[in-house]
Amino acid sequence: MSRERAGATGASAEELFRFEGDFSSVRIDWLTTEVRRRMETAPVAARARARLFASFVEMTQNIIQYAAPDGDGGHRRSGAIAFGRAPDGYWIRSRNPVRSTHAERLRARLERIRSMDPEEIVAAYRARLTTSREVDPLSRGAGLGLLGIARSTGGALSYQLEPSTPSGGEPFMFSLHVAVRAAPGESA
Amino acid sequence: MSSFRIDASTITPAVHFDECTSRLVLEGDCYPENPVTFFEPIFGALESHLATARPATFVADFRLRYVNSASTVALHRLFSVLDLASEAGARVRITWVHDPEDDVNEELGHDLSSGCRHAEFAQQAAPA
Repeated sequence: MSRERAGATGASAEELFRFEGDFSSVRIDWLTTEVRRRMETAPVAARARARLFASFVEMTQNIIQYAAPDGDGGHRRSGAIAFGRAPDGYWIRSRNPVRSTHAERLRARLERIRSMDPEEIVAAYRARLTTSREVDPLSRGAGLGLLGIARSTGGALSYQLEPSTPSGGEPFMFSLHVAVRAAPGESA
Repeated sequence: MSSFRIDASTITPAVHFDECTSRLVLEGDCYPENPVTFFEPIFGALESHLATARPATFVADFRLRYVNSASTVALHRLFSVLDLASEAGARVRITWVHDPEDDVNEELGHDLSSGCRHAEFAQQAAPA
């Protein structure tokens, strides 16, 4: 029996959508069609929709691209992504295992972003875009993805990176939490 | 390489490249997981047309909805190619159309155009 499930969840009144399962075989077009449908029926305020969708897809593609495979020697990459309503907008959460080498890189990148104010994030995004042709071999988006998420959410992101065993063994579990605020005057 | 059309999919935009009118139109969502594969034929046709036909004018219209970060890098390169053609003497006009409710896309148009020194750039808000 498949462990994948997607759709609205009744478990939490604030959760509007969740997918958890194997990201190595998930069809992004199926997932995003489902998400757009959920946003329309939810309903998500119009101006927040684009920001919510952008961060959702970026986070999903990060899992597809960077999640460590499950430790059984197969291709399966387990992860989870969900979004829902917050008092002042929306939240998105993702969770997936990453290799320890990638964990350190992620931590450095996220700490740098978290130290910036919104203007510095915009400046860093533009600088990164200008030099994006000197491509980072490990990053298809030249490092723009996390900066883009930080930018469209005003820097409201937090994360956890923890080794899966007390001795610090592989893989690390990576959780990312992003807050998407509704525009002024809009109710979530 | 001559004129061609690519139909839109859920994750990739419709592309229409017309050699006769020197026009490129991209319309729809743009978040392929491997943008290099998607954009390569566009770069191939565009660069060959600009180098061999040396058109006096070239028009590029972008009516995109969501663009992922990897495709943003490709679009930045596309804008550079167009700006270089303009620097070489062609009159290049780029139009970026965004949904009035989509400030992410509006900012993206602004960011991409900020690298253009020679091409003409116009940004319009129009409902999707």
